[in-house]
Amino acid sequence: MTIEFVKDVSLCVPSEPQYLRVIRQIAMVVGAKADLPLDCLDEGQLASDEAANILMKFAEPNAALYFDWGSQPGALHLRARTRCLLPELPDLPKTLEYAWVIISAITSHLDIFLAEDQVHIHLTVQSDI
Amino acid sequence: MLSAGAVNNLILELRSPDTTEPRVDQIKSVIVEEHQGLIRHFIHFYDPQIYEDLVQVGTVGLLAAIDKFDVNRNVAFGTYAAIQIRSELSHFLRDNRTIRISRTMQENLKKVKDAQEKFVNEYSVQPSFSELESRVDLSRSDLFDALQANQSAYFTSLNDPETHVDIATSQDEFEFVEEWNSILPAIELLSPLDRRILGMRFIEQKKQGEIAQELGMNSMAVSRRLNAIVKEIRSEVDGA
Repeated sequence: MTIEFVKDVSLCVPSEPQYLRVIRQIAMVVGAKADLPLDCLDEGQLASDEAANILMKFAEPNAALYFDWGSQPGALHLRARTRCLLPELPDLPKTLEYAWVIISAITSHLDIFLAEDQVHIHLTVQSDI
Repeated sequence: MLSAGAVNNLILELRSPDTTEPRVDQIKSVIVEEHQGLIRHFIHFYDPQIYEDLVQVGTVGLLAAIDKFDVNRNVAFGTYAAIQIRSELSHFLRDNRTIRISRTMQENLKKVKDAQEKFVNEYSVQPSFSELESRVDLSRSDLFDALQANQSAYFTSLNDPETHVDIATSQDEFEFVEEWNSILPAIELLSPLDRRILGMRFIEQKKQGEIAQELGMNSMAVSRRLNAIVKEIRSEVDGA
Protein backbone atom coordinates (compact mmCIF):
# COMPACT_ATOMS: atom_id res chain seq x y z
CA MET A 1 0.00 0.00 0.00
CA THR A 2 1.48 3.36 -1.00
CA ILE A 3 0.78 6.28 1.22
CA GLU A 4 1.32 9.89 0.31
CA PHE A 5 3.44 11.03 3.20
CA VAL A 6 3.99 14.70 3.82
CA LYS A 7 6.00 15.28 6.96
CA ASP A 8 4.56 17.66 9.57
CA VAL A 9 6.81 17.05 12.57
CA SER A 10 10.09 15.21 13.19
CA LEU A 11 11.44 14.15 16.55
CA CYS A 12 14.54 12.39 17.80
CA VAL A 13 14.58 11.19 21.41
CA PRO A 14 16.65 8.77 23.50
CA SER A 15 15.17 5.30 23.80
CA GLU A 16 13.77 5.94 27.29
CA PRO A 17 10.17 5.74 28.51
CA GLN A 18 10.09 9.24 30.00
CA TYR A 19 9.94 10.63 26.46
CA LEU A 20 6.66 8.85 25.72
CA ARG A 21 4.75 11.88 26.97
CA VAL A 22 6.35 14.07 24.33
CA ILE A 23 5.54 11.51 21.66
CA ARG A 24 1.87 11.33 22.71
CA GLN A 25 1.61 15.11 22.77
CA ILE A 26 2.99 15.53 19.27
CA ALA A 27 0.69 12.77 18.00
CA MET A 28 -2.25 14.72 19.45
CA VAL A 29 -1.28 17.97 17.76
CA VAL A 30 -0.67 16.35 14.38
CA GLY A 31 -3.89 14.33 14.76
CA ALA A 32 -5.75 17.58 15.44
CA LYS A 33 -4.28 19.03 12.27
CA ALA A 34 -5.73 16.01 10.44
CA ASP A 35 -9.03 16.89 12.14
CA LEU A 36 -9.47 13.39 13.51
CA PRO A 37 -12.52 12.66 15.67
CA LEU A 38 -11.60 12.61 19.36
CA ASP A 39 -11.67 8.81 19.62
CA CYS A 40 -9.28 8.54 16.64
CA LEU A 41 -7.16 11.26 18.21
CA ASP A 42 -6.87 9.01 21.27
CA GLU A 43 -5.97 6.08 19.07
CA GLY A 44 -3.38 8.10 17.14
CA GLN A 45 -1.68 8.81 20.43
CA LEU A 46 -1.99 5.23 21.54
CA ALA A 47 -0.56 3.92 18.25
CA SER A 48 2.39 6.34 18.47
CA ASP A 49 2.95 5.30 22.06
CA GLU A 50 2.86 1.59 21.17
CA ALA A 51 5.18 2.17 18.20
CA ALA A 52 7.67 3.85 20.53
CA ASN A 53 7.41 0.96 22.97
CA ILE A 54 8.05 -1.53 20.18
CA LEU A 55 11.10 0.41 18.97
CA MET A 56 12.44 0.55 22.51
CA LYS A 57 12.10 -3.21 22.73
CA PHE A 58 14.23 -3.72 19.62
CA ALA A 59 16.64 -0.75 19.93
CA GLU A 60 20.32 -1.37 20.44
CA PRO A 61 21.79 0.14 23.65
CA ASN A 62 21.96 3.95 23.55
CA ALA A 63 20.15 4.11 20.21
CA ALA A 64 17.92 7.08 19.48
CA LEU A 65 14.33 6.84 18.28
CA TYR A 66 13.36 8.83 15.20
CA PHE A 67 9.78 9.82 14.44
CA ASP A 68 8.18 11.60 11.50
CA TRP A 69 4.48 12.37 11.71
CA GLY A 70 2.42 13.41 8.73
CA SER A 71 -1.24 14.23 8.27
CA GLN A 72 -3.92 14.53 5.67
CA PRO A 73 -7.63 15.14 6.32
CA GLY A 74 -8.89 12.25 8.43
CA ALA A 75 -5.55 10.42 8.68
CA LEU A 76 -2.48 10.52 10.89
CA HIS A 77 0.69 8.87 9.57
CA LEU A 78 3.75 7.91 11.56
CA ARG A 79 7.11 6.72 10.33
CA ALA A 80 9.42 5.71 13.14
CA ARG A 81 12.77 3.92 13.29
CA THR A 82 15.72 3.05 15.45
CA ARG A 83 19.00 1.17 15.12
CA CYS A 84 18.84 -2.44 16.17
CA LEU A 85 21.04 -5.51 16.21
CA LEU A 86 18.45 -7.97 14.96
CA PRO A 87 19.50 -10.03 11.92
CA GLU A 88 15.82 -10.56 11.17
CA LEU A 89 12.52 -9.66 12.77
CA PRO A 90 11.10 -12.23 15.18
CA ASP A 91 7.52 -13.49 14.97
CA LEU A 92 5.86 -10.16 15.78
CA PRO A 93 2.49 -11.30 17.19
CA LYS A 94 4.30 -13.78 19.44
CA THR A 95 7.09 -11.42 20.48
CA LEU A 96 5.06 -8.27 20.92
CA GLU A 97 1.91 -9.96 22.25
CA TYR A 98 -0.24 -7.24 23.77
CA ALA A 99 1.43 -4.37 21.92
CA TRP A 100 0.88 -6.18 18.63
CA VAL A 101 -2.82 -6.73 19.25
CA ILE A 102 -3.34 -3.09 20.18
CA ILE A 103 -1.33 -1.53 17.38
CA SER A 104 -2.68 -3.81 14.67
CA ALA A 105 -6.26 -3.22 15.80
CA ILE A 106 -6.19 0.55 15.81
CA THR A 107 -4.20 1.20 12.64
CA SER A 108 -5.55 1.10 9.11
CA HIS A 109 -2.04 0.51 7.78
CA LEU A 110 0.85 -1.07 9.68
CA ASP A 111 4.22 -2.16 8.40
CA ILE A 112 7.19 -3.20 10.53
CA PHE A 113 10.39 -4.08 8.73
CA LEU A 114 14.18 -4.13 8.93
CA ALA A 115 16.32 -2.07 6.59
CA GLU A 116 19.96 -1.02 6.89
CA ASP A 117 20.39 -2.11 10.51
CA GLN A 118 17.28 -0.26 11.55
CA VAL A 119 13.81 -1.40 12.49
CA HIS A 120 11.12 0.75 10.89
CA ILE A 121 7.46 1.15 11.76
CA HIS A 122 5.08 2.81 9.33
CA LEU A 123 1.51 3.21 10.45
CA THR A 124 -1.67 5.15 9.75
CA VAL A 125 -4.61 5.87 12.00
CA GLN A 126 -7.60 6.84 9.95
CA SER A 127 -11.04 8.18 10.61
CA ASP A 128 -13.95 6.31 9.00
CA ILE A 129 -15.76 9.55 8.36
CA MET B 1 15.26 -10.01 44.47
CA LEU B 2 12.63 -12.36 45.89
CA SER B 3 10.99 -14.88 43.58
CA ALA B 4 7.18 -15.07 43.39
CA GLY B 5 7.35 -18.33 45.34
CA ALA B 6 9.46 -16.74 48.08
CA VAL B 7 6.96 -13.89 48.42
CA ASN B 8 4.14 -16.43 48.67
CA ASN B 9 6.03 -18.28 51.41
CA LEU B 10 6.52 -15.06 53.34
CA ILE B 11 2.81 -14.27 53.08
CA LEU B 12 1.92 -17.77 54.28
CA GLU B 13 4.27 -17.32 57.22
CA LEU B 14 2.65 -13.96 57.91
CA ARG B 15 -0.77 -15.57 58.17
CA SER B 16 0.36 -18.39 60.44
CA PRO B 17 -1.02 -18.06 64.00
CA ASP B 18 2.43 -19.04 65.28
CA THR B 19 4.15 -16.02 63.76
CA THR B 20 5.09 -13.44 66.37
CA GLU B 21 4.20 -9.77 65.99
CA PRO B 22 7.83 -8.61 65.49
CA ARG B 23 8.22 -11.25 62.77
CA VAL B 24 4.98 -10.07 61.10
CA ASP B 25 6.38 -6.52 61.01
CA GLN B 26 9.69 -7.81 59.70
CA ILE B 27 8.03 -9.78 56.88
CA LYS B 28 5.88 -6.81 55.86
CA SER B 29 8.97 -4.59 55.79
CA VAL B 30 10.79 -7.07 53.55
CA ILE B 31 7.87 -7.27 51.09
CA VAL B 32 7.36 -3.50 51.07
CA GLU B 33 11.07 -2.91 50.50
CA GLU B 34 11.09 -5.51 47.74
CA HIS B 35 8.25 -3.78 45.87
CA GLN B 36 9.38 -0.15 46.08
CA GLY B 37 10.24 -0.30 42.40
CA LEU B 38 6.65 -1.18 41.60
CA ILE B 39 5.42 1.92 43.44
CA ARG B 40 7.99 4.10 41.70
CA HIS B 41 6.84 2.67 38.37
CA PHE B 42 3.39 4.14 38.92
CA ILE B 43 4.38 7.53 40.25
CA HIS B 44 7.29 8.64 38.13
CA PHE B 45 4.98 10.47 35.74
CA TYR B 46 3.64 12.74 38.47
CA ASP B 47 4.73 16.02 39.90
CA PRO B 48 8.02 15.54 41.83
CA GLN B 49 6.64 17.90 44.49
CA ILE B 50 4.17 15.23 45.58
CA TYR B 51 6.52 12.30 45.06
CA GLU B 52 6.91 11.52 48.76
CA ASP B 53 3.14 11.69 49.30
CA LEU B 54 2.60 9.29 46.43
CA VAL B 55 5.22 6.86 47.77
CA GLN B 56 3.29 6.79 51.05
CA VAL B 57 -0.04 6.33 49.31
CA GLY B 58 1.45 3.57 47.15
CA THR B 59 2.82 1.89 50.27
CA VAL B 60 -0.67 1.90 51.80
CA GLY B 61 -1.88 0.10 48.66
CA LEU B 62 1.00 -2.36 48.91
CA LEU B 63 0.18 -3.14 52.56
CA ALA B 64 -3.45 -3.69 51.57
CA ALA B 65 -2.24 -6.13 48.92
CA ILE B 66 -0.20 -8.03 51.52
CA ASP B 67 -3.30 -8.33 53.72
CA LYS B 68 -5.68 -9.38 50.95
CA PHE B 69 -3.53 -11.48 48.61
CA ASP B 70 -4.74 -15.04 48.07
CA VAL B 71 -1.67 -17.24 47.52
CA ASN B 72 -3.86 -19.98 46.05
CA ARG B 73 -4.86 -17.83 43.12
CA ASN B 74 -2.74 -18.34 40.04
CA VAL B 75 -1.58 -14.72 39.94
CA ALA B 76 1.80 -13.32 40.96
CA PHE B 77 1.78 -11.10 44.04
CA GLY B 78 3.37 -8.31 41.97
CA THR B 79 0.40 -8.29 39.58
CA TYR B 80 -2.11 -8.17 42.42
CA ALA B 81 -0.09 -5.55 44.30
CA ALA B 82 0.05 -3.39 41.17
CA ILE B 83 -3.73 -3.21 41.12
CA GLN B 84 -3.99 -2.34 44.81
CA ILE B 85 -1.29 0.31 44.50
CA ARG B 86 -2.91 1.90 41.48
CA SER B 87 -6.31 1.80 43.12
CA GLU B 88 -4.97 3.61 46.18
CA LEU B 89 -3.16 6.17 44.03
CA SER B 90 -6.28 6.59 41.94
CA HIS B 91 -8.38 7.47 44.99
CA PHE B 92 -5.74 9.84 46.29
CA LEU B 93 -5.33 11.63 42.97
CA ARG B 94 -9.07 11.85 42.39
CA ASP B 95 -9.62 13.35 45.82
CA ASN B 96 -6.67 15.69 45.37
CA ARG B 97 -7.05 16.54 41.74
CA THR B 98 -6.15 20.18 42.33
CA ILE B 99 -2.62 19.01 43.02
CA ARG B 100 -2.29 18.04 39.40
CA ILE B 101 -4.81 20.21 37.58
CA SER B 102 -5.18 23.93 38.17
CA ARG B 103 -8.59 25.53 38.70
CA THR B 104 -8.45 27.16 35.26
CA MET B 105 -7.63 23.82 33.73
CA GLN B 106 -10.51 22.16 35.55
CA GLU B 107 -12.86 24.83 34.19
CA ASN B 108 -11.49 24.36 30.67
CA LEU B 109 -11.79 20.62 31.05
CA LYS B 110 -15.44 20.99 32.04
CA LYS B 111 -16.11 23.17 28.98
CA VAL B 112 -14.53 20.53 26.73
CA LYS B 113 -16.40 17.64 28.35
CA ASP B 114 -19.73 19.49 28.19
CA ALA B 115 -19.23 20.34 24.51
CA GLN B 116 -18.12 16.80 23.71
CA GLU B 117 -21.06 15.25 25.53
CA LYS B 118 -23.55 17.60 23.87
CA PHE B 119 -22.12 16.74 20.45
CA VAL B 120 -22.23 13.00 21.13
CA ASN B 121 -25.83 13.24 22.35
CA GLU B 122 -26.81 15.19 19.25
CA TYR B 123 -24.94 13.25 16.54
CA SER B 124 -24.09 9.91 18.23
CA VAL B 125 -20.45 10.17 17.11
CA GLN B 126 -17.38 11.79 18.60
CA PRO B 127 -16.69 15.34 17.37
CA SER B 128 -13.64 15.94 15.24
CA PHE B 129 -11.04 18.30 16.66
CA SER B 130 -12.31 21.23 14.57
CA GLU B 131 -15.93 20.51 15.50
CA LEU B 132 -14.97 20.59 19.16
CA GLU B 133 -12.85 23.69 18.67
CA SER B 134 -15.79 25.55 17.14
CA ARG B 135 -17.99 24.67 20.12
CA VAL B 136 -15.75 25.69 23.01
CA ASP B 137 -14.57 29.16 23.78
CA LEU B 138 -10.90 28.24 24.17
CA SER B 139 -7.72 28.99 22.30
CA ARG B 140 -6.27 26.06 20.36
CA SER B 141 -3.42 25.83 22.83
CA ASP B 142 -5.81 25.72 25.82
CA LEU B 143 -7.87 23.10 24.04
CA PHE B 144 -4.80 20.89 23.57
CA ASP B 145 -3.95 21.32 27.24
CA ALA B 146 -7.49 20.44 28.28
CA LEU B 147 -7.54 17.32 26.12
CA GLN B 148 -4.24 16.28 27.62
CA ALA B 149 -5.56 16.91 31.13
CA ASN B 150 -8.65 14.93 30.22
CA GLN B 151 -6.42 11.96 29.50
CA SER B 152 -4.62 12.36 32.81
CA ALA B 153 -8.03 12.19 34.40
CA TYR B 154 -8.59 8.79 32.83
CA PHE B 155 -6.32 7.48 35.50
CA THR B 156 -8.85 8.56 38.11
CA SER B 157 -11.89 7.29 36.26
CA LEU B 158 -11.27 3.60 36.82
CA ASN B 159 -14.10 3.46 39.31
CA ASP B 160 -16.48 5.61 37.30
CA PRO B 161 -19.92 4.38 38.45
CA GLU B 162 -21.32 5.30 35.04
CA THR B 163 -19.48 2.36 33.52
CA HIS B 164 -20.44 -0.24 36.08
CA VAL B 165 -22.87 -2.19 33.97
CA ASP B 166 -23.41 -5.87 34.55
CA ILE B 167 -22.57 -7.60 31.28
CA ALA B 168 -22.31 -11.35 30.87
CA THR B 169 -19.02 -12.38 29.25
CA SER B 170 -18.81 -15.20 26.77
CA GLN B 171 -15.65 -17.24 27.29
CA ASP B 172 -15.52 -18.07 23.59
CA GLU B 173 -15.01 -14.45 22.70
CA PHE B 174 -11.86 -14.30 24.74
CA GLU B 175 -10.27 -17.61 23.87
CA PHE B 176 -7.68 -16.02 21.71
CA VAL B 177 -7.02 -13.29 24.26
CA GLU B 178 -5.99 -16.06 26.56
CA GLU B 179 -3.32 -17.17 24.13
CA TRP B 180 -1.17 -14.38 25.41
CA ASN B 181 0.05 -16.04 28.53
CA SER B 182 2.01 -13.08 29.74
CA ILE B 183 -1.04 -10.85 30.00
CA LEU B 184 -3.53 -13.49 31.04
CA PRO B 185 -3.27 -12.67 34.75
CA ALA B 186 -3.96 -9.04 33.95
CA ILE B 187 -6.96 -9.88 31.77
CA GLU B 188 -8.37 -12.23 34.39
CA LEU B 189 -8.34 -9.42 36.88
CA LEU B 190 -10.35 -7.08 34.65
CA SER B 191 -14.04 -6.72 35.37
CA PRO B 192 -16.43 -8.60 33.05
CA LEU B 193 -17.37 -5.31 31.43
CA ASP B 194 -13.74 -4.38 30.77
CA ARG B 195 -13.03 -7.80 29.28
CA ARG B 196 -16.05 -7.39 27.05
CA ILE B 197 -14.96 -3.93 25.90
CA LEU B 198 -11.38 -5.13 25.35
CA GLY B 199 -12.61 -8.00 23.19
CA MET B 200 -15.04 -5.87 21.21
CA ARG B 201 -12.48 -3.17 20.41
CA PHE B 202 -9.24 -5.04 19.91
CA ILE B 203 -10.44 -8.47 18.86
CA GLU B 204 -13.72 -7.87 17.08
CA GLN B 205 -12.27 -4.50 15.99
CA LYS B 206 -15.51 -2.64 16.53
CA LYS B 207 -15.50 1.15 16.61
CA GLN B 208 -16.07 2.89 19.91
CA GLY B 209 -19.48 4.11 18.74
CA GLU B 210 -20.57 0.55 17.91
CA ILE B 211 -19.42 -0.69 21.30
CA ALA B 212 -21.29 2.14 23.01
CA GLN B 213 -24.47 1.34 21.11
CA GLU B 214 -24.23 -2.38 21.78
CA LEU B 215 -23.55 -2.00 25.48
CA GLY B 216 -25.98 0.84 26.01
CA MET B 217 -23.22 3.17 27.20
CA ASN B 218 -22.29 6.58 25.88
CA SER B 219 -19.24 6.85 23.60
CA MET B 220 -17.36 9.02 26.04
CA ALA B 221 -17.62 6.37 28.73
CA VAL B 222 -16.37 3.73 26.28
CA SER B 223 -13.48 5.95 25.23
CA ARG B 224 -12.48 6.62 28.84
CA ARG B 225 -12.85 2.96 29.73
CA LEU B 226 -10.68 1.78 26.82
CA ASN B 227 -7.91 4.15 27.79
CA ALA B 228 -8.08 2.96 31.38
CA ILE B 229 -8.04 -0.72 30.33
CA VAL B 230 -5.05 -0.30 28.03
CA LYS B 231 -3.10 1.57 30.70
CA GLU B 232 -4.11 -0.94 33.33
CA ILE B 233 -2.90 -3.94 31.34
CA ARG B 234 0.28 -2.21 30.24
CA SER B 235 1.09 -1.29 33.84
CA GLU B 236 0.54 -4.84 34.94
CA VAL B 237 2.62 -6.29 32.12
CA ASP B 238 5.44 -3.80 32.70
CA GLY B 239 5.24 -3.90 36.47
CA ALA B 240 4.79 -7.62 37.06
